[in-house]
Amino acid sequence: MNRALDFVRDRSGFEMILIGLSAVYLFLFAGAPFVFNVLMSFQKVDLFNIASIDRPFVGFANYQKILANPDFWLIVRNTVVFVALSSVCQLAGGFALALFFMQDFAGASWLRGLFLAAWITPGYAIGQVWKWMLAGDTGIANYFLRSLHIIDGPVYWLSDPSLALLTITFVNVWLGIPFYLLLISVGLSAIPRDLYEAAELDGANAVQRFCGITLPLMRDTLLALVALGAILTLQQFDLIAALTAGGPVNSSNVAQFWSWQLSFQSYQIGLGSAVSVLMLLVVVVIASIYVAATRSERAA
Amino acid sequence: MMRRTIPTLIAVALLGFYLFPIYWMYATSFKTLTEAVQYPPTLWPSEPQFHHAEVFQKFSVARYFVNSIVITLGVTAITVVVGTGTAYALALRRNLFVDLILFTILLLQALPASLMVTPLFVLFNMAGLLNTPRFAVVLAVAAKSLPFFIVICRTAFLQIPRELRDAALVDGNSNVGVFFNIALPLARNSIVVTAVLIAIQTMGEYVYSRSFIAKIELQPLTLGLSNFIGAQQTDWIGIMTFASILVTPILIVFIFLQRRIISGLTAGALK
Amino acid sequence: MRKLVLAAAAAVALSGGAQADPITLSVWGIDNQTGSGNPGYTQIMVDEWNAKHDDVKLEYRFVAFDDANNDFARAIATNSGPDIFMINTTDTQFYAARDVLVDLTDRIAASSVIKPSDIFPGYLAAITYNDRIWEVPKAADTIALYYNPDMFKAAGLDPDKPPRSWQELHDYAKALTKPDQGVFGIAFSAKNGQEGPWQWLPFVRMTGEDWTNVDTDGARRALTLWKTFVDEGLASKEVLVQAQSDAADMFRAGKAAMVLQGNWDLPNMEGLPFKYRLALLPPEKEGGLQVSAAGNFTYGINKQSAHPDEAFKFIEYVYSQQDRNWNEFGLLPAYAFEAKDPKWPDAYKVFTEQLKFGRVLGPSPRWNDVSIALQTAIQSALSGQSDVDSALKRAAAEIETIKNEQ
Repeated sequence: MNRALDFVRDRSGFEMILIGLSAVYLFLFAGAPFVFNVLMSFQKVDLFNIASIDRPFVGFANYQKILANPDFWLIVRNTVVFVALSSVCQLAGGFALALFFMQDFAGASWLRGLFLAAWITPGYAIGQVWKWMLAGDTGIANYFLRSLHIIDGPVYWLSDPSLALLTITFVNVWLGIPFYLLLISVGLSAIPRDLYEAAELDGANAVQRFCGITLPLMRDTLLALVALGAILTLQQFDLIAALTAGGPVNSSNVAQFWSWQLSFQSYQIGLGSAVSVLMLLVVVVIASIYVAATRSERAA
Repeated sequence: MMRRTIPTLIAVALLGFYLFPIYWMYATSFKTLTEAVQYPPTLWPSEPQFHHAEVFQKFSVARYFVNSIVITLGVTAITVVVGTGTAYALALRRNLFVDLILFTILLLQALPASLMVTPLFVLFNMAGLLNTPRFAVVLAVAAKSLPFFIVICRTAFLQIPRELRDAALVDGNSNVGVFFNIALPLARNSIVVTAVLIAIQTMGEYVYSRSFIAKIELQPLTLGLSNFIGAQQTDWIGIMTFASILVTPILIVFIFLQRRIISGLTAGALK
Repeated sequence: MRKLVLAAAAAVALSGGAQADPITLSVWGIDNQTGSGNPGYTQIMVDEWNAKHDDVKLEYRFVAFDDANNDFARAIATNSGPDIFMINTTDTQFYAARDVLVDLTDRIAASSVIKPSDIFPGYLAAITYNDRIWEVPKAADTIALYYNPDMFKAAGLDPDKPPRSWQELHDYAKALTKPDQGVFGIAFSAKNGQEGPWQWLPFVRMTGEDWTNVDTDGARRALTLWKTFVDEGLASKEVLVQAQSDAADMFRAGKAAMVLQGNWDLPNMEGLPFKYRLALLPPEKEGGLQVSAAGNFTYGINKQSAHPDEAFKFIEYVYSQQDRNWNEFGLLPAYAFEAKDPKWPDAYKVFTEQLKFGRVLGPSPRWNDVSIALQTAIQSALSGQSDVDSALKRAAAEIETIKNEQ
């Protein structure tokens, strides 16, 4: 009995239990479906054998079909642009706002929380609101822009193939900023004020303070946020479904939406799974970079 | 005096700009369909329609709310209870084992719910969990929130200086004690903020709820929304009305809560 | 004596038991009267049935449309499915081909209520697979041309003479387009989803061609018609992302003079600053072949059901009530029927006339894939990314592959 307690108190034992709890939980409820899906991508699946494990095995046929699809490279490109651009803009925007709200002015502390109102609203409703606002002929966005004489005629934000991807990126950035804003704020507030004061006394200006103190100390947080933010963006579905449905002509189609189209519009679930497994490869890259980049973190 | 008000004005302007779509949702809920789609758009409804009370009653919004809250509390509880310890343990040291776990955790986060739902449905059905469908949803959603929570809170635990822990150990604290007495309080901000984010995300959960919860009495708000979506047409004004009814109390609670929660952020200088 | 009492008790118990517990059947559907909080059509039918029957009770479960097929599939996979479920006309062949439904042919032949010869041919084609009938239609939808008579007058057109050919459709649209006011002559849906093909296919069919081979002159003319609308600015570029309801919104907002839209939208056409009017979809040449879309849902019986006969009786009951469809529910019946004193009589006349020429999408067990090929063609042609010929060639090749894979 004592030895068991010692095991718990002993560093490794306690740690293992803490990690073990999550591991078991995730294995059951995330790991099993994960494996199931990867398996599906190697099988011939349709709506009616979707739940059984026993399905015809087709090797890499699904992947070959996906890669041979004429839209494949377009969708890859779209996905990369969508994720990269969103992440950069969300990070920059979130950071800028976080810095702004760190200042000492009336309402600073609680006003920033209101940005989360966007997350509270159901995605389905928000998607449609943006659709109305961005409508080329009747939307209020064009109305404002025309009244301010920034544009002459209607700009087709959603139906112009050259603009559609940028538009959904814009809306996605809008949606993701509170996430960055809040978590960066938490990170920023953990930096001791006296570090800044000391640096100021030493003659460092704002930029130097930012690069010398803020960024290094925020490194862990920022890396975590970017990795998670990128993964969240990869999974973004509601917005795309509401705004453009991947159109026109797949100009705003990204991997996640395409996977859905294959699985749930044409019921070629094996193909949809293959696309999502390919998306996983992207996540593998992101996760690897994250793990490698954080190896030099200050161990607690 | 001026210096203090200008930033506030800027902040309010930024917020106003950012939250305009939310305002638009509210404004639309008071319009008729014809007015909602007209051009030039009206910033404020010309003849406000007050369907909100009617929708609230007819669509049993209160009951949907209760279900949403039940699910949200469940998910947040599981995520915090199971995830906090893991985040801490993974911050203690860094080795290949931790690398692998971090990597796997991120990977498990990557699959969208729409793909996870079928195997989970079969699994839960076999285990009889579909008889307690809200619990099934809680389990499934927590599995998605856990990796998110762990990765973020881990960075908070990372910022706790090693000296503090070692000192506490020397003082006779057990490892368990260090966790509860030293580490947790210091990471409190991150935990709370992340938990809030997860709670908010869960209120918007649709895919699992939709697949697991058949009984209308147990369905959360997001499924209530689907009442307005038909095969050929959707009652958009209805959706806006429902959405505004849904958002308002959460927003109010949130505003009150966050003064306490988020204000802790500015207080958090670690000495 | 005790034996007698026991025997009597047993007899009573048995007779009590002979009045067996009612059989409960489950019905899953996508009906609920959208956004009104009122029960939808099927729920009302279920309630009426339950009021009339003690031996067989029904339970209705509302399933949201967007994921209905997945719900059914999961339920069938875990043997927890309903006895009756609703199937979209685009999916009827798919379900029939996968052998998850009960073959209804014999029951229908024996039925005094359901007569296949009455059903509109478009629907009959949808529910028939391998010469057997697998589903029963519940209601019908079609599209027609809504137009704004005030705008007609302002453009010097006679509101009593809607366009009767594609040429007239084009010319009218041209006269009605007012770029300086942001008004388009016509609106429709060319969205990346099923709605585009749903609205476009009738035009192809009016030339005598069909989806089975779109690399034909007829199909090319149909696509060119649509492309011309967009190219000449007679329809907004937004048609590429507009659902039918969005296109109808343009019409309601006075931003489009004509719109292709269906009967389900009639309630939303009330209370507008103008009184809409309806016309049949114009054939290619005046007096030529008329075609329109046809859709809506059907009922099918799950093969896993323990009580297919009782389930069929419910379906018969619903079918027998189709004559109430229009006046009570604003739904068109799937067979030729003269409503007495219909609501919106003008609209009713046009839509029932239109339904005679209605043809469902497909029918094909792989309609969804075919639809994607057509969507791509429509979108690439209308957005200018490719010309009509190559767009349709690509689509036809794709459809050929799909047909061969079946």
